[in-house]
Amino acid sequence: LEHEKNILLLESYIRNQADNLTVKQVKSRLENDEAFASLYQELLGIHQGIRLSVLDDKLKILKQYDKRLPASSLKKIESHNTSVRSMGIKKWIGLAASILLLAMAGLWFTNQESTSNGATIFASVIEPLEQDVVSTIRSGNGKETDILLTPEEILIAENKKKAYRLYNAEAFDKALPYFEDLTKLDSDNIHLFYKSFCHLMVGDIDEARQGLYHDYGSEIDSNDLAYARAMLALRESNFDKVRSLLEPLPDNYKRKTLEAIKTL
Amino acid sequence: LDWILYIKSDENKALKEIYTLYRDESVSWLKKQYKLDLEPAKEIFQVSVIILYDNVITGKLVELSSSIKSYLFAICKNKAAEYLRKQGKITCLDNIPMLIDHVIETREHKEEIEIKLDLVNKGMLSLGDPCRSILQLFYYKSMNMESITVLMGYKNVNTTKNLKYKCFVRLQKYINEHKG
Repeated sequence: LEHEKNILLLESYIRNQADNLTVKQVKSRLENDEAFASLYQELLGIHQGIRLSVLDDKLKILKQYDKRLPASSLKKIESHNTSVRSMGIKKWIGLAASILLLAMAGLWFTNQESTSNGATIFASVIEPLEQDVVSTIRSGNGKETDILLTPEEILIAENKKKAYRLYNAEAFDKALPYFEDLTKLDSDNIHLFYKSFCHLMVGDIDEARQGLYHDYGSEIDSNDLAYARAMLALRESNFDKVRSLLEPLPDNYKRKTLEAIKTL
Repeated sequence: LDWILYIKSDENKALKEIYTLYRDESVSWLKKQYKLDLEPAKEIFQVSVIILYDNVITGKLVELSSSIKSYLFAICKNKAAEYLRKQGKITCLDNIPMLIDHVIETREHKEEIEIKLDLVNKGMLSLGDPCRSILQLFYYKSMNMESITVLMGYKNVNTTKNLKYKCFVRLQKYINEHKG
């Protein structure tokens, strides 16, 4: 009976349901009564353990539920990146194709064997993203306490989501204002890179040049950047420059170019 | 839609809805951002939904200052970072450690507490119903005896009180018998 009484007393204390007098008594006993203090610690542990058991139950429910959901969409995620990447570039390749054929015809790599792997010409350059809080990862400080995003982070995330979705849908002109905003809101220079591509796509060569010749340091892969500049040079019909930019690049860039041309 | 109210009033339905709405997008995002395989990405998402639920029930989250999606993604972000920090320590197919990390609020004697919590969890599993439900309703949902009596369909509050105490003692006994 004493045990039960003590439990009830401690429970009311833990749940903040005890009156002031009871709280005083409990505190006093916790200081002076070792068995009582030990029971208190035990109760606290049981509280936490029961919380864990509830969460564990809920997790099992979700796992069961997950099995009932169509798995096809998750399987698509596995191959998602490749398929999405290929969408945005066809138009570009179409625009540049005739120039490209001329430029490549006499170049050194036309006799190389094609080792097609389904990758596209820009596979390593343009990586469309479909998430909405990318910026928090890039600029995150890793603190576990920062659960909620700041309003600015949310704004960046929303802009990013819209920009990439429009980009993926090849609506480059519509994506441009969002990339424009992103370059102002976020210090990540990847936005400038994407924005410049959009400019290139809509034929705004001066803006594209300005963006693609920004000093990116190590923020953008140097091969990707060189390749992007080569594509710009193609639009400018500056074939010597195309050649000089492509020459030091790995063969896969050249092969991808040829494969893309062949599919047109 | 007031997600917090929805979770409180019809938790399983609300959780399933959140899960369906954001699973694919979250998993895709986790895979890409953290270079994770599909399974760990999915498990991180599942744990994140559970943490969202826990934050609502325990009163840590009373009002959303952003969308539910942003809040959920932020939890995913933290859990993914935590997962990567501990990679090698956590078994991918058992995400209980991630839940334990969430439940434990102190870093002192963490391993000792982890063992205790795991033991209580196992004890709860061994209890079965109605003990399991009564203890969860009382200790986690903070429901009073009257509400539990109505919910469980018992004759009166005294029946519930007696049963609750017996269940507690059974759990205590399990813990004492199984602790190292």
